[in-house]
Amino acid sequence: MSNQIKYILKRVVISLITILVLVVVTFLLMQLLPGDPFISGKALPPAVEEAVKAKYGLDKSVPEQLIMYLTNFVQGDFGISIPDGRAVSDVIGEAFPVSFDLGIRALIFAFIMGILLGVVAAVKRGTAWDSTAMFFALIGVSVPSFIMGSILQYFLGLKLMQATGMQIFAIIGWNGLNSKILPAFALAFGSMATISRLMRTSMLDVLSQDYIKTAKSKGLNQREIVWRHSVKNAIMPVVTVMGPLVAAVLTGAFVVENIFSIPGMGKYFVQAIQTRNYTMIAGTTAFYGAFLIFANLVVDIIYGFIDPRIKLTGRRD
Amino acid sequence: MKTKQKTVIEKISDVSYDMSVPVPTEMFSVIGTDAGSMEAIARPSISFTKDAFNRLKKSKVAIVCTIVLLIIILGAIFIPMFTPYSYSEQNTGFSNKPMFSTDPITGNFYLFGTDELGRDIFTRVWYGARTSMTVAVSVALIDCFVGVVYGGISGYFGGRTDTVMMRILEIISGIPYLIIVILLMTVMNPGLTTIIVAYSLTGWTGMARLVRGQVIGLKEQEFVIAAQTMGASSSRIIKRHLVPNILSVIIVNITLDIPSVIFTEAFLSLLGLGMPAPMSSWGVMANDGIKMFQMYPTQLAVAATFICVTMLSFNLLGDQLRDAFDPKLRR
Repeated sequence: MSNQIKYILKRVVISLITILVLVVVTFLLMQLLPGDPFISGKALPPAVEEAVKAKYGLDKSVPEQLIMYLTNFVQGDFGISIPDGRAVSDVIGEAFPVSFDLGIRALIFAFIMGILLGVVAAVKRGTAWDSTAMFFALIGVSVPSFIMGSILQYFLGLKLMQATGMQIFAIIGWNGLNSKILPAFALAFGSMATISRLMRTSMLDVLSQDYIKTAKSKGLNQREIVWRHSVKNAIMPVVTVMGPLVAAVLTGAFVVENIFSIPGMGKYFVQAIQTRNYTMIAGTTAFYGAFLIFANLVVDIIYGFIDPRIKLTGRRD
Repeated sequence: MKTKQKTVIEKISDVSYDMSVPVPTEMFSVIGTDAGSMEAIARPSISFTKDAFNRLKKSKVAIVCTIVLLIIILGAIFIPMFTPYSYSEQNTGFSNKPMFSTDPITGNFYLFGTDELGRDIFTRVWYGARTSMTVAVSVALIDCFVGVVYGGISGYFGGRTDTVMMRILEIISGIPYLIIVILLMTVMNPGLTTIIVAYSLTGWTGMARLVRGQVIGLKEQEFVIAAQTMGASSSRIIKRHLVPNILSVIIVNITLDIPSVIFTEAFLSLLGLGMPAPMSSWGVMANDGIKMFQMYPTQLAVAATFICVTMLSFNLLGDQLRDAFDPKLRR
C-alpha cells in the first residue's frame, strides 16, 4: 500500500509541476508577442495610460507579473478578453460544459464500441467479423474527425433529410438528442478505432495464456471465459491510453464544434484566433492544458487502483 | 542379467570386423567436393533488413501502399511544375465550378474544378501535397533524430541521468501536444518553418520513450559489453551498436508519425492556424472545402480524399513494416 501511495504522490507532484510549466510557458509566450494592449486605437494621454497600466499590473517587472499571473490562475482568474472586456473564466464557464458534454458522450461511445469491436475481432480471429472490425478501425485511424463530421453532416444530415423529408439528425446546433448524435459519433470514431485495435491485440495475448486453457478445460462456457477471464485482464492497456484519448477527444472537439456550430469552447477559440485575442487564447489553452493534465492524473491513479500489479513496480514502463 | 549382457556383447564381437586392418584408401575417392568447400555457404546470406524487406515484398498491401505513396510524393514534386496554373492564380469570373469544367471565355480547362476564388483545385491539391508532405516528413525526421539522441542517452547512461531526463520528458509530454502547438503557432509568424518547428518541439517525446526502453533492454547484452571492453566511447556504442539494432522500431515509428503530423497540420488549419493565405496545403484546402461543403461538396472531397488516402497508406505500411520486422514471425 505504501508503494501505491508513493506512486500516487509522485504522479501528483509531476502533474502539478507540469501545470506550472504550462502556465509559465503560456505567460512567457504572451510576453514575447510584439506590441502591447495600447498600441492600437486612440493615443491616450500618458497619465491615463499609466493609470490603466497600474490597474492591470502592467507597470510591474516581468517576474512580478508572472507571480501575479500564477496567483490569478490558481484562483481561477484567466485574465480578461480585451476586445469585449469579458472575463475569460466567464466564457470558459459558459462554453466548457457544452464541450465537456460532447466529449463525455464521445468518450463513452468510443470506449464501449471500441471494446466490443476489439473483443469480437479477437474472439473471431481470422473470420469476416475480424476483418470487418479491423477495416472499420483502420478507417477510423485514417479519417480525421473533421472529415468524418462533414461526411456525416452531408449524408445523414442533409441528404437523408432531403430524401425522407424528416430531420432525423440535426445538422447544426446543440439542443435535443438528434443534434448530439452526429458530432459525438464523428468525434468518437478515431478513438474508437484506437481502442479497438489495442483491445484486439491485448485480447489475443490474453486468449493464448494458460489460464484461459485451464478455464476451457474446466468446461466453462465461452461467454464466461471471454467476459470474466479475458476482457478483465485485456482491458488494462486500454485504460492506460484513456488519458491521451481524453486529451485527443476534448481538443478534437474544437474543430468538430465548428463544423456543427456547437456553442462550445471551439467557437470562442477560433474567434479568439481570428481576432488575435491573445489573452483569450492564452487563458483557454492554459485552462485546457491544466484540465487535461489533471484528467491524465486521474486516469493514472484509477489505473493504479484497478491493476494490483502496479504496486510491485510502481511504474508502467 | 549380467550374464545375458555379456552374451550379447560376445555375439556382437562375433560379427564385427577386425578394426585393426586399415581400410584400403585406393578403393575410395572423394567426388564433387574438397575439404575447403565443405564449409562454404551455399546460399547468399540474408541480413535482418533484407529478410524483413523480402517479407514485406510478399505483402500485397505493402506494395500497393508503397506505390500510392510514391505516386503522391512524385506528384507533389513534379505536378506543380507542369500544371498551366499557379496555386494562387485566380479566375474570379469562374469560381466554385465542378470537376471537368471548361471556362467558356478563356477556354481554360479545370480537371478538379475551381474553388471560391476561381483557383485551380488540381494545382492546389498537388501543391498542397508538397507543403503537407514536406511538413510531415521533416517533422517525423526531426522527432526521430531528437528522440533517438535523447532516448539513447537516457537509456544508455541510466541512473541519475536517466531519472532527471525522464522527469523532464514526463513534464514535456504531460502538456497536451495540440495545446502547446496552438500556443506556439499563435505567437510565431505563420509559415512553413514555424509549423515544422512548432510541431517538432513536443513531438519527439514518444520516440524518446520508445528508444529508451529498447536501449535499456539491449545495453546489458554481450556485444555492448564487448564494445565497452574494447574501449569504444559511449557515443560510438550508441551510434554504431545500439541504434542499428533498434532501427526497425525507429522506422516503424517514423512511418506512423507521418500521418499524425498530416492530421495535426489539417487540424490547425481548421482552427485558422495553418499556412498563411495564398499558400496551399491539404489542411488549408480542407478548411476552405468545409466552408463551401453544403453547396459544393467536391471541394472538400478532393482534399479529404488526399488526406485520407495518404494517412491510410502510411498507417497500413507502418503495420506491415511492423509485421515484417517482428523477429517472432521470422522463419
